[in-house]
Amino acid sequence: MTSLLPPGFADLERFAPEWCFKGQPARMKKMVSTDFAALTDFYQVMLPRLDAVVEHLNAFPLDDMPPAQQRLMDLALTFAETAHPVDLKWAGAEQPGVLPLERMHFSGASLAW
Amino acid sequence: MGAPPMGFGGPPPDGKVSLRDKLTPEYHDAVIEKVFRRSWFMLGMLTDIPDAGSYFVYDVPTFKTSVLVVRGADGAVRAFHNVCRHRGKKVVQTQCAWAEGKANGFTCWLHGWSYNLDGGLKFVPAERTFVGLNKSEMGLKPIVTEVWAGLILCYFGEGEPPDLKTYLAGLHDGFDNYYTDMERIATFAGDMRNNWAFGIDSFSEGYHVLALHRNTQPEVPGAQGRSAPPPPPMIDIFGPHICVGGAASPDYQSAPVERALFRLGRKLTPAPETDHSMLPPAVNRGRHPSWFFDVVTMFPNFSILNGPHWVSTVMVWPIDVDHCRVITTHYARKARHAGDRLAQAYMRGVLVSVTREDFGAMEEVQEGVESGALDHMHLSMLEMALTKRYALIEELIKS
Repeated sequence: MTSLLPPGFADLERFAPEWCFKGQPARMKKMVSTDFAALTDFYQVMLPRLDAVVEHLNAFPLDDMPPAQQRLMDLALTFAETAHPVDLKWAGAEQPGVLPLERMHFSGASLAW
Repeated sequence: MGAPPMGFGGPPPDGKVSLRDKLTPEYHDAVIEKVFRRSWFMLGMLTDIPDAGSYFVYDVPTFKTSVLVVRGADGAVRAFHNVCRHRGKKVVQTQCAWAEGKANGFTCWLHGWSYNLDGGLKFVPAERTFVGLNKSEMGLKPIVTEVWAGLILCYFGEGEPPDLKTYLAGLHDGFDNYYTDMERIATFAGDMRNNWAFGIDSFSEGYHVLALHRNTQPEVPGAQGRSAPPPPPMIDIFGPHICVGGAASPDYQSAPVERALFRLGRKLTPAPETDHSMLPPAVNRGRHPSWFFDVVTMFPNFSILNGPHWVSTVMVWPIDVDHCRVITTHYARKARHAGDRLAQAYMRGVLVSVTREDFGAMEEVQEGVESGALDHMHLSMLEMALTKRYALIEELIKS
């Protein structure tokens, strides 16, 4: 099987098909609609790998990465944006009393990366 | 133009603000005419349009005006009505009230009229079929705009605008190389079912943070928790505007991913920064060692949150007496590498959740006030920006 991610990140490969999103709307939607156990699993695997991921990606130009590196970047960006419910020890990805996500309008930079 | 009005012209305020008049159409119409038509508004930053031909389009619902802001070939920033001079179609289409890009000029695709970056009418198809068309007088209609410290401001009233420097009342100095070092990292907005004032109220004080944001920013109160007395606010008043600095918890503990990403990239909100060497004089003016960020509430309807390596702006635009549009835009120091970009991503993810809390609460304030249960709200010194704004509006609509 061909890998989606750069060599050295085989342990993250299983997340690539499901967690490589571009832009905030798709990432936020994934965060609030994913089973919390799956969000926690992603968290526990990604957190100890952040140093290696950043060290690898820092060697590439931010806005012009090869496809495999861009996928790893999108995976890491999706993680960075969706980690806080687990990071802050919430019981689930949604809090009561907040504005429904569907009513938030994203534009510009929120869609660009 | 003399000194701008200050608010608090009368006796010292007791913090009680009447609610009986705030949702009447008469009060609302007076506020639009006497306050909004005489104020400056921030639409963006120079860093949003870095190159010749960079532009954005911003639909402002309060004035039913679509504004095209563009950097010319000469480097100057100009603002125009985004309306074709032929039949009135919007020249650049917007989605969610916004568009951005880079262009050599602009073409209205109804009949193909095209305009230069300086707004001049460049080309009219079948020009000879028009009688008496003088192209030199048919450029895009300009909107009054000025740049202050890298921020782009516009004026929508009739006649001469108030002198911007006078309007800023001392707030204009000391921001060199601050806003220009930032890049836009996110914009999220909501069309809300509440009066605009309850919208900007939410973003003019830090008093609500410990309660409303207890889940999204649990570490802000520090080890002593929410029962600890709040630190004294650091307040600077600039005419109609007010800057309130918030204190950071000295024993703030980052969550694990936050800690990792703010180590691999720049330290962004909600983590407090203790190295203030990159700050310009006007941000954390007192150089308080345990400083979180400044909330600069600009009269009448927007706030600029100035952090160590990040800035957030909140614009609250009245739509009608019971509706407003709240647009939050977030900036961070320009990313040097993937580590910085991932730190930006953590910040903007948390801020979506924080903002959803603010948005949810402001509609509930509207419902509560609409019920008529209260005659007034009773505000603390921590909410001085609100007390002051309501008092100043009172002064202006009676003038």
